[in-house]
Amino acid sequence: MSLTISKITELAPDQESLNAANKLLKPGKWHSLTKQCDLVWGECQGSGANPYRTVFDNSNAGYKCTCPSRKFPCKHVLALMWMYVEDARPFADGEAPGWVSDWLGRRKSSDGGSAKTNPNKSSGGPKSLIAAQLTEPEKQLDPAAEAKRKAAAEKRSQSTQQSVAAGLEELQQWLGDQLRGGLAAFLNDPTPRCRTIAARLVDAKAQAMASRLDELPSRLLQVSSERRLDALLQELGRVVLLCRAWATGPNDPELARLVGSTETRESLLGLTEAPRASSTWEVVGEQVATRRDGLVSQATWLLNLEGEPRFAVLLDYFPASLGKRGSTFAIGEQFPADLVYYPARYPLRAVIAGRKTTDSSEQRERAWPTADAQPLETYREALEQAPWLGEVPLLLPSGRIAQAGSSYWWQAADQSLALPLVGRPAREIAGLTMQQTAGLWDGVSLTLLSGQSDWGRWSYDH
Amino acid sequence: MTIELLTTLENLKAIWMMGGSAAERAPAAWREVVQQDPYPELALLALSGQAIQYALRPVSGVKLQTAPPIPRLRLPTPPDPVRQQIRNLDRVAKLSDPQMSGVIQLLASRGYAVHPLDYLPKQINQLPDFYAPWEAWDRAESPRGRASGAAELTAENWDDWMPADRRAALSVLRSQQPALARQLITEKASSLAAEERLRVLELLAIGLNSEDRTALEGFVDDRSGKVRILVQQYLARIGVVKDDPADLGEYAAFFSVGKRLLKRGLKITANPLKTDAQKKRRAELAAKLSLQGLVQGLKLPGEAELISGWEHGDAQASDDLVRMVAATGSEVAAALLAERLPELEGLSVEAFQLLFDRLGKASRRGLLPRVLENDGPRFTAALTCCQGMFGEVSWTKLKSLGALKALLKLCSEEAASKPVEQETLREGLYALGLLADQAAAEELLRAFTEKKLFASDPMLGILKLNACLPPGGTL
Repeated sequence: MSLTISKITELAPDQESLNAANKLLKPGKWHSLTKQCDLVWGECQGSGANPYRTVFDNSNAGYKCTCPSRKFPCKHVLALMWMYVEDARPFADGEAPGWVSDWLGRRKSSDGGSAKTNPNKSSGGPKSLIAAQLTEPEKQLDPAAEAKRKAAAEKRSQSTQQSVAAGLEELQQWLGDQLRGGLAAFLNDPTPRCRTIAARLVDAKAQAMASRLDELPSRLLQVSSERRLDALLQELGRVVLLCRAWATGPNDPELARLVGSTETRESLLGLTEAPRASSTWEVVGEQVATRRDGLVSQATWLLNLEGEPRFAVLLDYFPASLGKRGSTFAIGEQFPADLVYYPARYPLRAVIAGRKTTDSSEQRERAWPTADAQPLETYREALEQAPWLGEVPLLLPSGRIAQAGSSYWWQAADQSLALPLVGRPAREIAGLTMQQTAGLWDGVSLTLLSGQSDWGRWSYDH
Repeated sequence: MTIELLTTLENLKAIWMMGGSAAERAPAAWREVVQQDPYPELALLALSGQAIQYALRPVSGVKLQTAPPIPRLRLPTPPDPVRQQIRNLDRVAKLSDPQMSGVIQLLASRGYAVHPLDYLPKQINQLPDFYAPWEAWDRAESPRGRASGAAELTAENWDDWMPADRRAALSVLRSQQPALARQLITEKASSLAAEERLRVLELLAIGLNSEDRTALEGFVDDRSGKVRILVQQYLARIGVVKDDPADLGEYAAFFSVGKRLLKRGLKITANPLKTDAQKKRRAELAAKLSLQGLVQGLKLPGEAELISGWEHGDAQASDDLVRMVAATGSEVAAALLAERLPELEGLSVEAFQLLFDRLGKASRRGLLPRVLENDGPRFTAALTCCQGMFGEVSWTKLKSLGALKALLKLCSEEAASKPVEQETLREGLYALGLLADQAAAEELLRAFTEKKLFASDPMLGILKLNACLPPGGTL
C-alpha cells in the first residue's frame, strides 16, 4: 500500500500541519533525501541546533522524526511524504543508515512491524493540501502599529530586566543565607533548597539562572565526596560573578542568555556580529540528560579539524514526554559545515548555519589537530575571558587512564599532569593508550568525550 | 605561595562548612578588596571559587596505577565496514551475551578477533583459546616475563606463565605430546586453586586413553567435589568402573534386554514406570553411574551393543542415556550414539549439547547433513553440532532444507503479527548467519529480501556480517 496525496491528507493532524509542511517543500530545506525500497528518509534543518532526521515507510505509512513536535505526524514527515509522492526523482538510492535501521528494528520488536497508527485524532475541520499551497497575501506594514508594537516590546523588555534584577538580588541574599547557615547543611540536602530558589528565579524571568541552580544538586552528585565542597564553592562563586556581570550589562547578549533566555536561531543567524566558522568538523561527544524541569538536554560536541583546535557545542532541548530521541550525528562523523556561534567572550555554543555536500572523493578521514601541550593553560585563558564558565572543552595529549583506590584519573603519558574523572570508565577504555583525548574540564573533574588510541577511535557513553 | 593559598582556602572552607562569616578571617589583601563590595561574604566566595578553579588542581594522595594495556591477539580485527556491523549487532539489534559469543566464534572461524572497542565480552574465559591474553588482562595480571628462551611450557617455568596462557599452551602440548602434558599436570595441578585445578584436569579429555589412568587415580580423593566427579567420569571413559554394585543392579532392573525379531542383535527397552518416585530414583541412579557399569549390569558384550540395541520409547530414559554417554562413555560410544540422535525425539537441548561437546570436528562434520535434514526452523541442533566450526555450511547443503522453507514462509505479512513466529524467524536467521559460509550467506540474504524482509532489517544483521566478512588471518 503506497502513500497517496489523499492518504497524506488523511494522516495530517490538522490543516495547520499541512500549511507548515508546505513551507518545507523546498529542496534547500533538506540536507539529504534518500530512499531504499519502501524506506524514505531525509535530514531537515529546523529551529534547533541539530538537523531533524525524518523517515517513513511507504508500504505502511509508518514514520519517525527527531523533532520535538507533539503533532503526529509532524510537518517534517508530512513534507517528506508529500515531496516523495509528488516526485520521487530527487530521492537518491542509498543504503539505510544506522538510525533508520535502529528505527526499523524497534518497530519490529515493539509492534511486529505493523503500520503505526496515528495516536492523535485529527482536529475537526477540513484538511487540504491544495489549501496549504495557497500563499497568503503579504500584510501591509502600518507604521503607527509598528511603532506601537516596538514601544510595547521595549516596555516589556524593561519590565523583564527589572524582574530579573529583583530575582538576582534575592538569589544573592539566598547565597548569603547558605553561607551563614553552613555549607555542611546545604550539602546534606541541596535539592529542596535549590528547588525553592529556582522557582523564585523562574517567577523573576531568570530561567537560565533558575535551571543552573535547579541542576546543581545532580551535578554535585557526580563529583566524588572529597571534591564536592570545592565543586560547590566554584559554582556558587560563578553564580555571584554572573549576577554582578549582569548588573553592569543586562543588555549584553551573552549575559542575558546565561541569566534569562536564549535568542532564537533565526535572530542569531541574522546577527552580523555573531562569530562564524567554516570548517570540517568531527562529532567528538554527545551528552543527553533529563533535567528537573521536564526537558531533555542534548549537547553535541564538535571539534574543528582544520587549523588550531576549536570546539563548538550544539544544544537542543525537548520535552522528556516525547521519549527517547535518536542522535542526529554519530560520534566520529566528519562533515563540512558553517557554524554560527552565539556571541560570547569565549564562544562555544553554536548552530549549524549550513552543511556542505561533499562527493565521495573528498570524503577522506581527517586527522585531529595537535593537542594542547598545556591543556590547563587553555582552561585558564578561557576563565580569564569568561570567569563564569563551567565546563571548558580541552584536547588532551597522549595519556592513560589510571586508578587511585576507587577514583579514576586521566594521566598524561609523561605523568606531568593528572586530572580526576567523572565516574568510572569502561574497562576497555582503561586498557587503551590514548593518543589524544577530547574532554570537558570544570576545575574539579574531567568528563571524557572521545579520543584516538592505539586501538583506534573510542567514545564514552553518557 | 601555594601553601599559603591552600591554608587560606582551608580556613575559609572550614568556616563556611560550619556556617558564619569568613570575611574577617580572609588574608589582608583579599579583605581589602572584598570589603569594598556591598556583599563582602559573596565577593569572598567568588574570589575563593576562582582561586580553586584557576590556581589549583586536584592531585591524588595515592600513587596512580595504570591498567595493563589491552594486548594484541594473534588474529587481526575485522575491516572497518564489518566492525560497524558488529557494533550494530550489539547496540541496535541488542544481541544477548551468549548470542554475541556465537558472533565471536564466527569471527574466529573466519580468522578474526573481535575489536575490543566494538564488543568486550563479560566472560572472556569462555572464548576460543587465542583470547587467552585478554583473559589475563581482564584479571589485571601484570605480564611477567617468561623464563628466558622459554617458548614452551615446562615444570621449571610453570609458575612464570599466566593461567590462561598456560592452559592454552598445555592444550597444545596435550595434542602433540600427551605423555609430557600428563606428567606436567600430575606434578603441578595439586598446587593450584580448585577452580584452576579443575580446568587444567579437563585438558586430559584431549586424547584420553588408558595410559592416563594412574594420573587420574591420583585425584580420586581430591578435596574438591567437582574435581572428584570429573576424574570419576574420565576413568569411566577409559573403562575403569567404580560404580556401587547394588546401585548398578537396581538401575539395570529398570531395563529389559531381549532379542530383535526381525534383525540380528539385542534390544534394550526401558520398563514402563508407574510412579513418580520410580522415575526420580531411576534418574538419580543414571546421574551417578557409568556407561560401562550399565553395560556390565545388563550383562552386555560392550558399549556398542547397548547403544545400537537401545529402543527409544521413554524420552527421559533416552535423555539419561545420552547424558551418561556424554559423561562416561568412550569416544567410540559417543560417536555411535551421535549417529542415532535424529531418532531420539524429545531429547533436551542440554543433553544434545553435552554429547556433541564430546565429538571432534571431523565427527560433527560427518553428522551435520543428517542433523540439518532433521532440524527445525530455529536450527538449534545444527548450531550445537557446528560449535567451533561456524561459517562453513554451503548453499548446496542449505537450499533444499525443509527448515529453510519453513523459515522463509515466516516472512509473510500474516506471520509478521504473530510473536512466536517472529521469534522463530529471529532465531532461525541468527542461526543461519552463524552456520552459512560467505557465499551461502549472500544467497540467503537474497532469498529473504525477495520475501520482503528489508535489507536493513536488524534480523538480517548476522547474515550481512557473514556475507561481508572475507577470510582473515590464520593461527
